[in-house]
Amino acid sequence: MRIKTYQRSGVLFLDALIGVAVFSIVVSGVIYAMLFSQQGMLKSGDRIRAVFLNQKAIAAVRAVRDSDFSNLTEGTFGARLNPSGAWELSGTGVTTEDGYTTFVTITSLSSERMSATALSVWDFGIGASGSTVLSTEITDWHRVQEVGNWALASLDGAYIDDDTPLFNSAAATLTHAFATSETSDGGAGLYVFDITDTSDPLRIAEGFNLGAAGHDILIVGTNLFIITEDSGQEVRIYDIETPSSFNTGNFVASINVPGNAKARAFAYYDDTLYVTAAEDTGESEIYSYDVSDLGSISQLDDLNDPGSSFLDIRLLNGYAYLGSSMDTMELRVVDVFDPSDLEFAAGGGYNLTDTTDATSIAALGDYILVGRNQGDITEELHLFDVSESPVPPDAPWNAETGESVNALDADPTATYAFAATNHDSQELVVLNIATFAAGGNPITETYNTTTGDGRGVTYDILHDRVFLLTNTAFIILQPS
Amino acid sequence: MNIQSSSNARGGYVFLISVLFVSAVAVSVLGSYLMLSIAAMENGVTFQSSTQALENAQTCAERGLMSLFLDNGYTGAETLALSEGSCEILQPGGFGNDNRTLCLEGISGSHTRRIEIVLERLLPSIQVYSWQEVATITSCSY
Repeated sequence: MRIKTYQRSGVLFLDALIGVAVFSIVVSGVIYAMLFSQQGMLKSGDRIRAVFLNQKAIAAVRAVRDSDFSNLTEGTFGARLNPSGAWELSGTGVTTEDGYTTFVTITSLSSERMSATALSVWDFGIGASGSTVLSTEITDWHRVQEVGNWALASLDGAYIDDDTPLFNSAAATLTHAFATSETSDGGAGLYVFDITDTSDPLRIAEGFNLGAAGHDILIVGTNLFIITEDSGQEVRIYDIETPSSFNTGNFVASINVPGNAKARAFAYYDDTLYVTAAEDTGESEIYSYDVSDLGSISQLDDLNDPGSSFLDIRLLNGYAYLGSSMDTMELRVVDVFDPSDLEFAAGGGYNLTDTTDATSIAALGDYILVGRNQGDITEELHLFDVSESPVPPDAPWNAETGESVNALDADPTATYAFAATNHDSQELVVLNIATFAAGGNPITETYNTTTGDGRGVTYDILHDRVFLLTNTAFIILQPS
Repeated sequence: MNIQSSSNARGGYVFLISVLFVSAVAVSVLGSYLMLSIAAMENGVTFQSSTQALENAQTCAERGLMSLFLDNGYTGAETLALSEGSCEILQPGGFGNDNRTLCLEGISGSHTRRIEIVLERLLPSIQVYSWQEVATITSCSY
């Protein structure tokens, strides 16, 4: 009996011992897991805090760049606020009160691009140290390209043709310019110029002939859109990805605008092409096309304005402003918010004094500038304030050029507008818009050429140059 | 006697089984803590990677804006390899100097962040109408 009792106690003791051991191991594991978990959460918090500090350092670099890109210099800095509350990069790092040190290293990649790498490190003891990195690039896209003083314009370069192309309109990329022309007197319809050196425009692709007169022209990405007098292809589209080898093989697509070679001008916005046309009794005068897929261009809508020819078009704030031949409404305004539902804006437009046709339009911020044929009793330039209403509620400011205005363009800052005219000694007229809107004489400069009438004008912000198109010349003008 | 002996033996097993039961509960708690710990650590790493993805998108934004400023005919559609991932500049919307859109994607690890920028004009200086992070790009085509 005694032996049995001893044996049972031993088993019980062994059971308890095993149980306690197992329990101890498990509890130790739980405690370790709790500590590990806590440590993991703390580490995670440390890392997130460091990432925030990196973000702040990068934001500081951008803030410094925003004030002036040249303030960024190569090296390793700390980002801190100066006494005036602006970010500055100085020292070699910034340590926060809670023990994080953040460095930002700036490295120049090119004249307009730098890399910025923010590094935050922390060391709170064994197992509680680490670092994070955040990298980005900063460029000089805040720079301002100055518009020169066009109150003094001078010749930069010119191409003068042996024939009389009767140039009409131009568009340019950084390296090349494209100019349309008539074909009635030896013109090729389209001319391509290498303008890498704007003082010496070189005609290239001399063998190319459009086969029809070219009117308006614009560049969308790597595609060149041209209005032509080809009755089956009033709009032609060419690929100009490699302009130096431009040829007929660059043809991409065309649009057969209703009517017989009546298209005259167009404008593009958000995959939609708006084409205007001269009067055709059986057809409309403005069309909208979906050109998102050049392989499948579709007409969205059209709008008829009986008795009217729309000779030019500009888009501004969801409205199309049209230069019209209609005697009672030379400025037409069309609501194009929905390109599938073109409709005249309330009021329809503006009836200028006299009956001379509106030939050209320019959009300048809050203003619309209209150019007209020469009038015996009226001026040829009219500036409307459209800031309050798309259809001008008030009479325009007017200016006299003495001869017909054939084309208009403006610089993007709306400081200057440029008019091509038939004037014998003032083929280009430079207008100061602020002076115009203040009621003064806006003509600040004129340019005289012996190469014929001013038939077209294009302001090129990429080069801060004006392309003046005359009977025989493609002229590049520069500001002082 | 036999009855008393077996009763004592059962007592030992009950204690052991109780311990095992408590241990099982404890192990599940341990497992939970471990998973919680891993998740917490992943949070930090995920946040870091996601932030880098956004910075990569910003890098492409900077490059795209600079390219558009220098040449408004810039066609985008390029992927840039970066030190901490990559980014993609989609084909910009619009044409010319006014009303352009720029769409960017930044990638870091398994994270992708997207930005859409609407520009009022490019020159003489870029004017931004809106600059926002989006879940899906709708203003540009891939």
